[in-house]
Amino acid sequence: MSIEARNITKTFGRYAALRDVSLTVNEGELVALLGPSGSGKTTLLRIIAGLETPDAGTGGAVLFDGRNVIDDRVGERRVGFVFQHYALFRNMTVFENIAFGLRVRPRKERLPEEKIRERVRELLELIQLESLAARFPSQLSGGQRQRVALARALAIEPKVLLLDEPFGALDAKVRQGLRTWLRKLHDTVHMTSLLVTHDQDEALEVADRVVVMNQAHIEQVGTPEEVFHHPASEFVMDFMGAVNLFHGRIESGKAVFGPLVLDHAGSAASDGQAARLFVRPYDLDITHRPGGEPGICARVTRVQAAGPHVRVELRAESGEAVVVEMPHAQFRAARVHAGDDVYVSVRDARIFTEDYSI
Amino acid sequence: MTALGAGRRDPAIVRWGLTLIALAFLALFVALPLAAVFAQAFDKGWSVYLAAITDPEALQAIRLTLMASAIAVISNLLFGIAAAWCIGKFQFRGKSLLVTLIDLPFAISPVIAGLIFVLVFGSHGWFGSWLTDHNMQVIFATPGIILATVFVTFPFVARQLIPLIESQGSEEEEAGLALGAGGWQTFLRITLPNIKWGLLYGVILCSARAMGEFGAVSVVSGHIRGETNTMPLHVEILYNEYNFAAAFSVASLLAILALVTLAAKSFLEWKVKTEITAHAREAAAAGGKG
Repeated sequence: MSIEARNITKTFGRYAALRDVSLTVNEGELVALLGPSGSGKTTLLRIIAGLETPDAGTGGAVLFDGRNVIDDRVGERRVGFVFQHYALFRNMTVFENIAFGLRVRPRKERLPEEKIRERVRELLELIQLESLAARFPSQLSGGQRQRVALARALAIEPKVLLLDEPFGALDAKVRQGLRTWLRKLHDTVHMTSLLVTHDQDEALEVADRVVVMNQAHIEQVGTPEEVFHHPASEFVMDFMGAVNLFHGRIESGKAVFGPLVLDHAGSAASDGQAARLFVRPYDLDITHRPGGEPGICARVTRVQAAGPHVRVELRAESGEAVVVEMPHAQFRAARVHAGDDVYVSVRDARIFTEDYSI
Repeated sequence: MTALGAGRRDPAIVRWGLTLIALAFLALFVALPLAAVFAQAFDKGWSVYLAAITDPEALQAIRLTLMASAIAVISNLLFGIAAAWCIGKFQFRGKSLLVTLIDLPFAISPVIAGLIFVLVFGSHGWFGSWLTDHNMQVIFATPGIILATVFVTFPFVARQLIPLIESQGSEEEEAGLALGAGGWQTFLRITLPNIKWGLLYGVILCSARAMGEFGAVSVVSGHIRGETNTMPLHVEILYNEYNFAAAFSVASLLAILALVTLAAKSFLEWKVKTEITAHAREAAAAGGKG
């Protein structure tokens, strides 16, 4: 089932959580709502679920398969909602937690007890926790709890699955495992899913499309590749991972950052306009001698060789802190040590002027 | 003990001295008076004791006390759940005012509470003439005693539940609603089981206070023997008549009620504690497996 949120505005007191936000999730898609805390992503998810309502009189609508469900209560919308802190019923066993949605149905629609048990057993198998059916939530680990929460949400055969930072409270290793598991699950059941996260790695890895949110509005919507490689704004560029920032200006169609002169033709930016250069740490090279490439003079302040890449911290002549990341092999070839004066050249970068970017 | 003792040890005289002072206080102010109540009650033997507590006026006082307490507990139970639910689960204007109002009976002297009801419902009070016209009596009658008891025990259940419900948040209820449960189902299946121990605790405290209430009830009761006397009032009357044996006999019943409540409270605290530690232990064991 497709989801469409149309012109959603929501304020809490004087604080605007969402400003006229619209979003479409296609049938069978897994979309990630990505943004820092306070960007409005969870509020949007809760409005789609029916746990919150948009501000009255703003004309906001939520459509499931084209039908407006804004006046339907949360229980009537048949959504599977997974909470960040699991929200498992602490007074019920794992089995009863999963069975809850089936047991509270009106008598006429309720499955016979045997069918309920069968369905719960199927779900326990799906989350690989058959042996823990009689446990209470407090007796489970965080990862197990979140799997139970997912099974409980799936028990009512929801039409859409909404996940609010489902792995946010888990440690890194468990999170990685569950992420992969969730993607696999989605590929088997193909349920339209919307996932809220503040972790860009999670969004990029799991989702078909990523919606980047910031300060109550959507910054960019696109596939993980689009969002990562073609960020639409400085915010998205910055949020998608570590960046180095250099300040410069536009001079006769070129962007000038000290000794670096980069082509900036075809842009509407006029001469003298301030420009900002964003470079990923792995898009910078270090050489001891100025080669063919124009480079920034810098002194190496620290080398950190533990990890998959070597991280070199430098201070540019102009005073800016610069971080470069490179593979170990390249690092060994470059023979860089703390205290060396080196040249840093740019392989790939994005230039943002006041309100225009290429 | 070990946490404190491991670092350094105070001299023996300090340790023993403090312990002795605490024990002496406990003996002087709690154990001794309690023992005295029972000693006085049985001073003239079993037959006098039995006669004192089976006296028709004493039986009436016991009945009235139990009835007023039962009604107070039930009404404050319902009110307490409703108030704690509102305060714990929702944000609204005037919330802190409501919390303050719930605390009011704690702050106000019970005698003043009694006088308030006399002012409102007494024959010269606001509703006095209306009540007389409709042939109803509140002050110097059972309804007044019940009202006074309800007022004085008003905060107990609500006060016990508000922090509990606030700390539990409303995510579980939201999960219930999202799974299609109705409001009542959510309350009965999720909220109520989560607050049951706190609720029981509040009820115990509330009933202990209701049975022992003197000041407010004293003002509205009128001390009509065999009609509007509660146990504490009956004890006072007997005592003022120098009928010590009978006074202490009825007092011993009150003391027994208090001890039973105390035992129930301790049992409950022990039960909750063991449940929590058991869960914590199992959770820790499960946590290792990831």
